[in-house]
Amino acid sequence: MRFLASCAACCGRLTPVLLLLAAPSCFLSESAIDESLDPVAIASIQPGASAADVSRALGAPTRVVELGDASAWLYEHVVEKQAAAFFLILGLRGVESQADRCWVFFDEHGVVTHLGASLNADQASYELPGF
Amino acid sequence: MNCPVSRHVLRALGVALLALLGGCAGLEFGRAEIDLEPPPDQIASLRTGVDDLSSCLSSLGAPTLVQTDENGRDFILTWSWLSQSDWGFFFSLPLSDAFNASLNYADSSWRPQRLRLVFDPAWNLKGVLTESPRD
Repeated sequence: MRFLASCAACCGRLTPVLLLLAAPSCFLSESAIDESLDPVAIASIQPGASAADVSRALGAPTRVVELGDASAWLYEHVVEKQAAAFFLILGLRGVESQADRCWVFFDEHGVVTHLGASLNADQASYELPGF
Repeated sequence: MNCPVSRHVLRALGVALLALLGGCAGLEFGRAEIDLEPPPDQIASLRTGVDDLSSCLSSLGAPTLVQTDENGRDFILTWSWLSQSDWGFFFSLPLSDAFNASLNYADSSWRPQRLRLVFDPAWNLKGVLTESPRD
């Protein structure tokens, strides 16, 4: 009888340890590509501005696309957030990627004709399926 | 008559077994959100021959991609976004030093949705194409 009581006490101590071993593990990660775009700098660029004006305001573009004689410059800042949780044999993971993106369109003379911007990088969040 | 020790041992063994099983079998659920969908009402309001680059950029924001078409005459602006879930499971069984049996299934046919606007050289809208994951 004393032996059984001893075993029960031992198992009672072991169970929390085993539960800890099986407890959920998780990770959060965030990565960013390039600097965030400055809305004030973007607003300062108007049709008629030169390529030099754009460079001074926004710096070097992420990408330059040739459009015949015209061209377009892309400024981009991407934020990606990942979250994952593991419960024994069940894994949940979520990834969200949002971007600040600004396209500046130039004519054949290097003069700004159009500009389009979306600033959504700060909307990236950590989300798990089911939560 | 129930033995309390047996119940505790069984519970502990069950938890330990599940913990060990996590390394060789699992069920996974995932979700991905990449970029935002342009406002559907703004997409629906686009009119070829009426809208131009300025109005499209104003209503839809910055595209994901800007390129010329295959003939090099027209311009194509693409907005792409993805909002999908997937699931899968895996099971693996080491048989020996040289062999390992495994089964892996994933329903992860993630495909972004796309909106493509085609512009003529004067930046007038001449085409609206949408592409959903089921296309």
